[in-house]
Amino acid sequence: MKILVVDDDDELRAIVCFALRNAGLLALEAAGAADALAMAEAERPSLVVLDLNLGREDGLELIPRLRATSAAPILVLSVRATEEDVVRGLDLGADDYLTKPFSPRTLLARVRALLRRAGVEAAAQPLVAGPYSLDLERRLLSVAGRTAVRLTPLELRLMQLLLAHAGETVPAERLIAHTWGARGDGDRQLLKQLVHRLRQKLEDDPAAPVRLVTASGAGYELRLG
Amino acid sequence: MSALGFRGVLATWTLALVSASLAAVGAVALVQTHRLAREEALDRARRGLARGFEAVRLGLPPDGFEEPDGVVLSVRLRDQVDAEYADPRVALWRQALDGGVAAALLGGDIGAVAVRPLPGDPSSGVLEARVPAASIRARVARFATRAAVAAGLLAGLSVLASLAVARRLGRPVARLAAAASALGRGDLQTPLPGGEAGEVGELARTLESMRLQLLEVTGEAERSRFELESVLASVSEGVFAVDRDRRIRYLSPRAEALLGVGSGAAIGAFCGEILRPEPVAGEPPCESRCPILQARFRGPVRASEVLRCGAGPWVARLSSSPPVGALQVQILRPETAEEAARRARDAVVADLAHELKTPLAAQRASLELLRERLSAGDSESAELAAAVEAGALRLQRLIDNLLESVRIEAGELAIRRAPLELDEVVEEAIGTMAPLLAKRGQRLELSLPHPLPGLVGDAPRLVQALVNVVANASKFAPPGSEVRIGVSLRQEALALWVEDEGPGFEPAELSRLTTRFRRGAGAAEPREEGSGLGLWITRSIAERHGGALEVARLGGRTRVTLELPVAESAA
Repeated sequence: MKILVVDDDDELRAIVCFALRNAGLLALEAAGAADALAMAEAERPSLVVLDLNLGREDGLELIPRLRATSAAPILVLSVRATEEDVVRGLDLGADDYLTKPFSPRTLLARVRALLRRAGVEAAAQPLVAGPYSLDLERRLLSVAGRTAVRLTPLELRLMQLLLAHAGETVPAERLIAHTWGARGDGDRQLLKQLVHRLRQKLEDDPAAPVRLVTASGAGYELRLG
Repeated sequence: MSALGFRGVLATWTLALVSASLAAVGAVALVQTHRLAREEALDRARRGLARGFEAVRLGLPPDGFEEPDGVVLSVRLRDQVDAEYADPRVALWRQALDGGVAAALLGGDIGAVAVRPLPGDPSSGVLEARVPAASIRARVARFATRAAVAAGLLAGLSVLASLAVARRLGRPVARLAAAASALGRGDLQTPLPGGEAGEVGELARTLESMRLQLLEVTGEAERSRFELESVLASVSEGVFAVDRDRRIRYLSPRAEALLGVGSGAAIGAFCGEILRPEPVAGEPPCESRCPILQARFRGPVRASEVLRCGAGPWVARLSSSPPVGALQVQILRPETAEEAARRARDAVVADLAHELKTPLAAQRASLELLRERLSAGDSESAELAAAVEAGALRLQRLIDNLLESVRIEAGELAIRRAPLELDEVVEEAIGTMAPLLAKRGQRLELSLPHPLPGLVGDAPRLVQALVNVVANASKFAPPGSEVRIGVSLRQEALALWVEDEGPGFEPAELSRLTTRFRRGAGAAEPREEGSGLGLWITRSIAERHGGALEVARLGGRTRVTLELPVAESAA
């Protein structure tokens, strides 16, 4: 899967490409508009990551020219977070935008979502186990066929791991590592608070949980019954 | 008044009235004359009969004898009466033969007839006195002619009289009318003609006192207008006012000079067509960033704009006030050198901040990737990475706040309005602040109710606002203490609050929160860095969402509350 990364900043371009390659994608690099158009023509990438600030060139002007030769989705990177910039970028044909700074994890998630939408990657099926149905794309959780509630990104990550191991106790350390990643920001107290918030969204009575239960001292279990 | 003028109308009306009354009187007189002539004819016939009877008694021949006033006397003997049975007078004759006196008016040429028996032997015949119809008609005609002549004379006299009256009445009214119309044209100096008696004089005096009052009032208005004009002319700012459609309704002489346009041409024109502001990002700023429109919703607004009117492109400082009645007053002046310098500095700051964002983004992304690759046991490297990241985050916050402050100063106050999830805003702000809190050993306690009401707003800016408040809490609270974040629901609003165990603010400090670059002062101030921008920006973001920023002390804790209105559809 080829991803064209257009950015005049060498460091940032290198990091974006590094993150993409780490995720198993083939990253192509272009530093300017001319290079970008030539590569889009020659390599037919599945997606373009475009920095709007290309030194003296305006990345916004590149969007319609890329659109003219390729149907690949365009993910715009911008330091300008004002409404006008975002709207103009989307109006010109960009598919999504991300403002700097951004987390590589978020960038990858957006890239995958765009690829799925473009039909390049298979759409993610909702995760279903017992009464739970989790739509990863839209972060929607539905319990026992009831109206879906929207989860925050952290709640989604916690629910994802619990659901993958539904019916067994998942140790707290593992939940922390998965949810907060290697950042090391998570701790038992934060996990407790996050579990509390998730319970508000999936338990009938969050004070007396029957679905997401605390396993004595060790961790948490998502019950299927 | 019509083209005839007052006098003409008066005369015409008088004439019409006189003619109508004459015609009515004439008609009545004719009918009456006719009736009187017939009664008089009967009388004449009776009197003639009496005189004839005396004459016959004295032995005068009765037949064919004509009285001087047209009465014809005749005798009908009994056998004559019998013979002329077809005559309309037969009934009268028979009545007389039976010994009675009879009189009647008969049709045709007969006229008025009176009969009585002859003296001596009454049954021998009758004596008849007759006034012929022709004689009656002649009398009526004579009378009618005389009446018509008299009426004509009368009519002529009355027309003459009415014309005279109209002239006399009309002259002062006409003079008054001319004076009043001069008054209407704005000539307040000419006095009204006076001296008349009656209603016209009364009217003239009322008009005159009205003129004097008007003269006084307009004089006063003129004087205060002149004073106002001279005050406005001596002010270095130009003043103009616009209506609801942003059309210019007033332009001070100084504004005329600045904009290079006369009041005559500007009044009624759309403000943007006269000021001609330079397009921003290729678009005319009148629709998206007009300070006049912003002032309607946010109170007084100040803005710098490049105008292409007057002496070529120049930078104007515009102060827009909220509407008073239907008008909105705008104050306009050229930018001072100091303001130009500040604007240039702000532009450099903004450029620099944008330039810094890209390497900082590369740095933060690298750190995240680096930490994921650190082996689990290498806690020293992890600590080093965390230290670098904490620095990067602080830089990030500083840059974001600098950029936002420059935007606020430049009057770029637009916020994005989109439905947002408050728990995601809180989560993102905490994600950003977690390393800093961890570094100071501060615990975070979160209490969000479920479900949260819907909010409409600018999610990145709300994250920025919350990050500022949490950073502030973390800075002033002692290490190892607890920072609480929570949401309380109020009526049609929600309160997003942050509580810490820090010393809080002095009351004087709170009032100065609105000033840029203000830091907490006093002995209790820790040595942590901070530009003092944070709460100022947070307050601005809250207010642009239609909310407010509150600071309160709650039993040894400081609570900073962002009050935000709840989306209408979800309220």
